[in-house]
Amino acid sequence: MKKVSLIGILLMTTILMVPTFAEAATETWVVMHGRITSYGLTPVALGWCGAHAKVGEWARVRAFWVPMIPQQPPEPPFTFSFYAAKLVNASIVELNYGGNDFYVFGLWDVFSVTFDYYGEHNFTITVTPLADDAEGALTVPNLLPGESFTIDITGVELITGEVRFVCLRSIEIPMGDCSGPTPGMADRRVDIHDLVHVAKAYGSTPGLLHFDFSMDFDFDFRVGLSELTTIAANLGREY
Amino acid sequence: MNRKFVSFTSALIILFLVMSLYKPTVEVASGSPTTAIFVNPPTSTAEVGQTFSINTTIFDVVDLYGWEFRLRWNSTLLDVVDVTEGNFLKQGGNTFFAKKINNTEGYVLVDCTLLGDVPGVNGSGTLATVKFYPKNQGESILDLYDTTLLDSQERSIIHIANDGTVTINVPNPVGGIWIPVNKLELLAPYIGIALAISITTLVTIVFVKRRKKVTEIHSQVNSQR
Repeated sequence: MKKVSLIGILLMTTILMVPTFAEAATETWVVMHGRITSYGLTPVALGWCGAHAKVGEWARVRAFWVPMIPQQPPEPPFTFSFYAAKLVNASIVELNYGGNDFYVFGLWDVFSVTFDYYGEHNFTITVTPLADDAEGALTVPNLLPGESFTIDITGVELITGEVRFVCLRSIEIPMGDCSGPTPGMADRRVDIHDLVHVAKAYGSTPGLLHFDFSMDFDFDFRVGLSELTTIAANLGREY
Repeated sequence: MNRKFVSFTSALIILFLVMSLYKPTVEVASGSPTTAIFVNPPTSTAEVGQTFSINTTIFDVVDLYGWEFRLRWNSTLLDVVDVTEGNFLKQGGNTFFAKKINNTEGYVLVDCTLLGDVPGVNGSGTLATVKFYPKNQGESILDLYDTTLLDSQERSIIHIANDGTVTINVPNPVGGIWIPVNKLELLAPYIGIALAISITTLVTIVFVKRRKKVTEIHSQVNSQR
């Protein structure tokens, strides 16, 4: 009887002493930039897509494309029109999902945007919604530069593009890295190069010199204080 | 033999001439050889508990559009209270100024840029002013590092960076020098006077009371008679 009790106590002690290994908290961050090449069957003259995501949690995807080469006269007045798509709510943000390296599913807004410029920073902007909270997915079968991706949104023609830049990290990828020692080339650190790159475009809108969708972080079609403060908040961070 | 030698020598001379005319096409960052960013004044003296400021100054720069620097110090001796923008870059137009103060590790990261498609600023002046609060006595280097200057074409401007130092002393008492004083000796006359007054008062009180008593006895004796 005593032996049984002793063995029982020993067993209990052994079980309690076995260390419980908590699964290490791993997180994956993804940044992908790509060039949009076609909208339905129409080749795209100018287009860009940017995705910034924390896998399993959230994603920020934006895209713009201009089907025709803009005929921009040197002096105003002139018109600049483009399409823009924005992921407003992501429900699936995964790597290796359904045979795709990177997959984002959620609700999207799609607009047709026209800027009419009259000179001296005077312009009017006309935004026409094409889709509002429409289901759609960004699908990247191979998350490598040079490979293709698609954005398929209900009610909108298929958007196809080519991956240009990919960055996967297990640490947070901060917003704001849009330049480096080579202007316009991200260098995986947020510093004065990014601040100056955005500052040069300060006040610019699509169709004007220095404007670049990759530095319009809040996607309001204007490079302003919001972009500068985003960089300022992340100054000194590397990834 | 001689002819061969002459041909070889001529070929060598031509080669040297061609090489001397060749100019490399590698793009070199702009900047005057004397462009410098430095802590001004280079040496400071401060007292514990009394704030002091240093400037970060630029010298002889051409087309400065944006700048960034980090300044490191001994965090056991100093805290940074504030960093403010200097006047230099503002000469070129509107600016955006950003700072990150880390008093735990003892460094600041400061950035500033002009806004819009404007040319950079030329010359010399103050980029920023850093205000410190000295906590303890000692000497600290004010290490200016990771300095970046960019021109209006987003190119780096070659420059040198010079650090500063600060010596922190314990403050002297206000009003002069320390003289040891014997308090008893200093107060002796006053104690004497106070004692004399007290004794006189006591003697007077006793005298008056005795006098009063004698008078009362006399009056009682007179009334009995």
